[in-house]
Amino acid sequence: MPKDMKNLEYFLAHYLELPKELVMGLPRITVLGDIQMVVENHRGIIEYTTERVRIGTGIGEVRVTGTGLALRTIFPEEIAVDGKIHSIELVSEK
Amino acid sequence: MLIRVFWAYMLGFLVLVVKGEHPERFVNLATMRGVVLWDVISINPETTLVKVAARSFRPLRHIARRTNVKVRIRVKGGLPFILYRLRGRWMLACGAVTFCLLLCLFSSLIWTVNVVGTKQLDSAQVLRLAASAGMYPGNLRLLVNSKDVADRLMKEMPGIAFAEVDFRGTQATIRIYERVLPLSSLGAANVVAVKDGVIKDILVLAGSPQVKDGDVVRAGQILISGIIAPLPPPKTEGAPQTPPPKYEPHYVEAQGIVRARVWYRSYAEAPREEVVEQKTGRFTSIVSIRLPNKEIIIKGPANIPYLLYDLTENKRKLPQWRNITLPVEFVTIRAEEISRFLLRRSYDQALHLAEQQAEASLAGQLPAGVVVTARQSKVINTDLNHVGVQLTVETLEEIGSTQQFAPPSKVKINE
Repeated sequence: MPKDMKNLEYFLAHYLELPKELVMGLPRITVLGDIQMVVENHRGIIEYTTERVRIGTGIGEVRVTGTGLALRTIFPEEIAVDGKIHSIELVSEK
Repeated sequence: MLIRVFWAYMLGFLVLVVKGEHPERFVNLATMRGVVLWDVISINPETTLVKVAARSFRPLRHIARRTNVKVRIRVKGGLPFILYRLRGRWMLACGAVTFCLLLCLFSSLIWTVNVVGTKQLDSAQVLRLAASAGMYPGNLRLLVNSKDVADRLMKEMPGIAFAEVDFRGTQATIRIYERVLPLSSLGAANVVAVKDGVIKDILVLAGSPQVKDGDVVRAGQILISGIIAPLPPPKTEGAPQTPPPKYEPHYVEAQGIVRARVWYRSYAEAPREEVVEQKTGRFTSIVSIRLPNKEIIIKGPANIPYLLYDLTENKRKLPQWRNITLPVEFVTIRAEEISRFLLRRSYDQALHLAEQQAEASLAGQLPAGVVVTARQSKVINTDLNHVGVQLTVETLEEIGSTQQFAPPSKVKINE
């Protein structure tokens, strides 16, 4: 997406007080302590094991490492990851 | 979350085992097609467990084929599968339904009716009246209006000041609060002494006192009389002698408090020498089966190995059936060894024992709750072998008791 277009979206979202994650297609990541993470506005699962989960988003991928990770729910807009989370990493697209 | 679990249970769900190299692709494609998956747990890199609604299984087969994974059903859960399993066992289902219906029915019946709070009134009469209003064991609770029952009880039994009906489960409780009626007057009555004693103080509320402080009274003696003698006519000098008007005595219910000193006496003696038996603590048990003319010892010695012993025998028979009784008894004997010795008491020990015995026998004579004001113990009748003690206690107690009497007819009774 061109940079100008991104700025326009931000401008619109800012001045019209619209949710930025919807207007700009950004993921909303909610973390509950180290036991749960919910990613809204995702683009599917790239990898899933009990130690590592990679979830695709509009800005790259979200990498979660931990132990006993499980995908509690998977909806088209939302993924909830349960388990003992050690680290969350955002790997943005170049 | 909870609602989703509830619906998953109601509509049925499947636990699938997904085997393949890329289970992520399967999950992504399913999600894109609108199939909701939950509780995705990876067992090993190639095997993943997935929960899915039962009705979404059909589209998943195509997705599995496209993503090159194998899907197998591991568990079928939820209500539809349970019902499916019960399909061939309709009697079981009938039984469950019948059970629920009976439970509902029995829990809506009145099982017991209790009456609480009756003192003067007859509980059986209250129960009869309540039963006529519909509250009886076996009736449906819904048909009984507790307010109506209480109203009816209050209306038809004048002795009830207030009644309430309370249901707790299948138990109904009728709580009765009785009307406190004013005490009916006894008419003419005296206060008489119930015990011998010496009057300590007297307080007359009604009637005329017959005794004063310090008087010695016997049981049955009138303390406060219910007859009030007429006042003597006023003396007027010089007035013409007219026959005095006829005064008649009044009869009342004498009332008052009469407290008197009352004495109680008891005597006890204790021997200086006594043969005493004491258990040594050794015992032996014998368990045997007793037949009409034979005894078989199962456990323990054949004879009791003590010279003196105390026997406790416990017999158990086989249960009787109709009129057949087997003549077999199981006997357990416990023999406790006893040693016998001569106990010598000193004078003080014997005196103490005699006092204790006298006290114990006196305790039976004293009325409950009475206050002992003085006590005296006196040694009488002592010799080398015995010590006799007489114990006297003085108490202060109310000795008056109301006793009715019949006044001569045609007199006025003041109430």
